[in-house]
Amino acid sequence: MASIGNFGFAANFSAQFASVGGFAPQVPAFGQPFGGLGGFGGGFDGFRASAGAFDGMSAFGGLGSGLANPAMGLGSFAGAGGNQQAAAAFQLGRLQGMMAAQGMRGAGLGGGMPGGFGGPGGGFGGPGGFGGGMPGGFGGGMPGGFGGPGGFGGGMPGGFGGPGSFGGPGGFGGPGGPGGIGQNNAMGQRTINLTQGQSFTTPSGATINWQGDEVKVSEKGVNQSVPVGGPGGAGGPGGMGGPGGCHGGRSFGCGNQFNPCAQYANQGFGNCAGQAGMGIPGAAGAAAGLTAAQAGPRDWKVWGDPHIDHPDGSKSDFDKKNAMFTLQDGTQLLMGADSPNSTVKSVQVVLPGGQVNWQGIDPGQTSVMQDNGSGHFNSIGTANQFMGGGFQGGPTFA
Amino acid sequence: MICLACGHEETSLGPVCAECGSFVGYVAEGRGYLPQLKASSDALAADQISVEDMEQRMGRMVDSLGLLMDYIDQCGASLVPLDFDDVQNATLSGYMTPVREGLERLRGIVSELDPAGGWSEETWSQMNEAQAEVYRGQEGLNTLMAVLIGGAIEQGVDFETVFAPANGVSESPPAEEETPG
Repeated sequence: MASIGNFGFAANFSAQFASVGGFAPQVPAFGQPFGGLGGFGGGFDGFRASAGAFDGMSAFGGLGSGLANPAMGLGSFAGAGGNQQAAAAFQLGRLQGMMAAQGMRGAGLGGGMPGGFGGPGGGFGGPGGFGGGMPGGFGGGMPGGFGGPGGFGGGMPGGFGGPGSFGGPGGFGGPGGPGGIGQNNAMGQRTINLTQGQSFTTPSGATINWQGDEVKVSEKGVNQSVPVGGPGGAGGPGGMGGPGGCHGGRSFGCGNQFNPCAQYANQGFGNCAGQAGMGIPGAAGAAAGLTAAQAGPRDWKVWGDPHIDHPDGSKSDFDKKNAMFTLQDGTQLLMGADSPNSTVKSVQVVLPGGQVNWQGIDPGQTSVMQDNGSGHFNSIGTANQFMGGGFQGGPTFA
Repeated sequence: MICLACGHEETSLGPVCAECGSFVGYVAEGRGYLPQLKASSDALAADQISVEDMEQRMGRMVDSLGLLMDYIDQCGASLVPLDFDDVQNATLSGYMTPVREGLERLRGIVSELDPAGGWSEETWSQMNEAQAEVYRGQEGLNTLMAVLIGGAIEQGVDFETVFAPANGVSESPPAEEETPG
């Protein structure tokens, strides 16, 4: 496949699964994985379900048409042995991981299940799912490939980062799971439109307080109790080192990006920057989900028409209508005004993993503010400059 | 994520190719190569790339989709020796089939596209639908995985033990990243 070049997610589905010997049929209780699937009458015995029973669910929406709904057969795995099931999960996880690496999977949505499961495959573990109301998901990543980022703990106060995945021989150790999101977004909401008079505290403890024409930000520092993800995966021998995790505020090796780490920081999304070479014992993916550079608490504010009182005490003004700041914990703050010389009219808090809602906001009038560690936010350009890749054009936001 | 512009496999989660700087999209978004295709289409319309470039990019996309389909087939074959019964095997393949069908459908559409661009909204809609089919199929696989993993755990499989580092291999912290200049 010459035209693809180094299309390197080579699969080896014949890989041995060393611990999967002896597929002795057993009959498990088979209740745990469905503990959260409350909508199905306490069971998932597919044999009793109608063919269209799950068509309303996104996860199954595409499965009902033209096929016997495969959900009907899920109950049949109750008769399979544990190792047998683990081996199948291993193979499927490898596939899912490869799909995820090619952007075919997304982050996954765990729905009501206890956390999403990242692909535990040997290829590329997929990003973990979003745990709907339950603590963290499981990071994927079994031998031989990328470990998947852990799931997103959602809903539970504090949450739990998904356990990191375990990279095996020849693979990438997986980045750890993200810290759970606290009670502030029990519904899984990651983009919050703050209104005047409100304050909001991020899961890591940073507080954004908008009173009058003043938006005060108080950050706890990143070397404190920031809910980082679980430990990253351990790279196996002879493999590539695990992704080192995303260090907040650092771009993914490209200097012209729109601070993607703000989105992924603290979530265990690795950028593979720490990977060792092939054949070298893999560096553990531990410490995935590391927070931004070590830094202490700091306070700063935006006020007036609008002025910025920077963490280091210096002051400046908005140079565009809007400004986007990235907090130490990866949270993004998008503050908007009617003009560079009027008071703040909107404050959008985008928690890591959330997406900026650009509706009604001109990226070309949005300065991307970056603090390189000096305690002073500098504009590194406008948002539209960072959203078009090499084409310079920038996307549309229709 | 394969960069359609240069063929580099971008290992970050995007949004740009570290090799050539082209837009590859956000990997975790789950939209596959479509954001790249759209960006390429826009670039073509703006005369930033040539028709030949576009053709090459489309070729990479078609090849990549085909490769993913091959992997699905390989995965399916790898499940056979695991000795599941007929119902279980049908369930496994039933969950994989929508993914493959979505990929195949998408590949078929892209294969027929005119590299000169000017694709209709309907075409984009069809591609989006095919991509969504893949995505939904993955969601189904997630459920299947949860069942399998949960069943395995129920029966005493300890994944942490199974995938613990081999003897003599210690976990070391990740290498320090270099700050790009």
